[in-house]
Amino acid sequence: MKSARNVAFGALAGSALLLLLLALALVLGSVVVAGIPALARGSTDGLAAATVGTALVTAIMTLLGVPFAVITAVYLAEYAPECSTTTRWVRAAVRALAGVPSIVFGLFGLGFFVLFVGRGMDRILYPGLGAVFGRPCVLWSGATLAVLTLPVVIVTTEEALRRVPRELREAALALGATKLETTFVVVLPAARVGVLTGVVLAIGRGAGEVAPILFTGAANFVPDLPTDVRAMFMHLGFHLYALSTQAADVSRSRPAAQATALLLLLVTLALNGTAIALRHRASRE
Amino acid sequence: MTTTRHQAKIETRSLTVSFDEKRVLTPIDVSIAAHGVTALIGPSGCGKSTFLRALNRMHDTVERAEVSGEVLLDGEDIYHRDVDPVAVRRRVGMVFQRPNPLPGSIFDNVAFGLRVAGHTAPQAIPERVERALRRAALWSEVKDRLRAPASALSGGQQQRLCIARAIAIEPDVLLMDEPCSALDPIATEHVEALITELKARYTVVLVTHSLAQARRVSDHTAFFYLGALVEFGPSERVLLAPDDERTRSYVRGAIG
Repeated sequence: MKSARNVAFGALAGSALLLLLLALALVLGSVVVAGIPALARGSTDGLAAATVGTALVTAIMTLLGVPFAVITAVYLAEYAPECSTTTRWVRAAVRALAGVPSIVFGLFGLGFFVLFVGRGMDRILYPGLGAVFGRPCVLWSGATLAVLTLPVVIVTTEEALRRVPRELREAALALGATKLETTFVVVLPAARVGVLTGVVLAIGRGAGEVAPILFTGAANFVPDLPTDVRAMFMHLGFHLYALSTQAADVSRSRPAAQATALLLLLVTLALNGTAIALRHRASRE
Repeated sequence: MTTTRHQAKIETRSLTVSFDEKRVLTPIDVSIAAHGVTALIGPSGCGKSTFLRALNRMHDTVERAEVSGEVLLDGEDIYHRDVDPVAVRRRVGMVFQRPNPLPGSIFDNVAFGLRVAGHTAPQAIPERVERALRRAALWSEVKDRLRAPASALSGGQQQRLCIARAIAIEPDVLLMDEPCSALDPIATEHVEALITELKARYTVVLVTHSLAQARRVSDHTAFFYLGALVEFGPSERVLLAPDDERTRSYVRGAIG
């Protein structure tokens, strides 16, 4: 009786796995099969710019978002009094942030970064010069993506900090280290693998998102490689969307779209791979 | 302060500790002489570790702990509101139950306290590290691999490294919380020999579960029971001919 049920469950689980693998193979396979020849033909304008743009916006996102997230996590794990109202509110805000649809982040980015921060900077730094920072550009796209990925990094970093044994903190404190020294010289380095896990997850999420960059900096076509963070940029995800929906003749732009899809996968994979390799190295030390 | 008059190194006055408003120590008044080993004995949960951790303000790092009363170090209250707990911990070092090396090399572990204190010139650090490792009787075993990770040492070596690390910053007092409980007999022997040597230079307060250890290394012994200091005096008297009935039962093995 029991073994029959086991066999049934085994078959069910097996077929579920098969279905999943099949779906993955279909998606990846079709992208790869169609993408390689299209890419090889090299008939695709703007792909280099879009690839570099994707890498650049992801790098900006990481540089802006990770320090912010890590400091928030340090506050929550090390400094925040356990049951104070402020702590509860900060935690609730982080959770809420994780649940916000990405298109809302796009609108937030436009309203806050481009119009409020950017225009504000222009008024102070370049009065009468028109829009320098106050228009969509790769900097604000990166900032918007940084906000989108904050919760992931905060949550993983906080958990990593909490896993650092109390004995280690006490060792540092007993040697006359201040709480700040203990946190940044001992505890944070001990939690670095967890922090890097958060970064991996953030990059995995951020590199492929299109909605947050729609209004904050992505351009339909900018053939030159991005050289200024105050310029608009091409992004593989957005490029794919544009090629598939905005082109005059969709059937003619299809090879370009397939090449773009393949590149988007490769770039995301490469970014993830780099972050995972970093984490692996950190965990072996 | 007069140095000629014989003065206690550490003196507690009505010292109590509470966790979540619940008092775990009956007010304790005790006076610990400089240079010498004072053993704190008693059954588990009797408050001896809690008492020990009050002597270097370690409870300050725990949100729900509250200390009241006074702890005089060389006649000055370390809980006075003008006193910085970080400065207290530089004068009162601590060695924990389980060896807790910091991530990083053997050298970095010993240099850590010197670096955070910031008083030592960088070029003077190697010399101070060597001196501390020699005093902790570890130098000959590690001198060729100072850059190796501290976690690669054996448990006994790690504990001696923790002692070296604590004495590198030249404290006056060394608190030890069951430093041998995670060690095998041979490593224990090494650490005990070290404690006996250290008392010439430092005032050592040692929490131990082992009456034999208290007998071997301590000059004075304090017996704690249910959060109270029951008996305190020269070790041979407290351990061999105690006055109090509860101490007598404990050293005979009837309680604990």
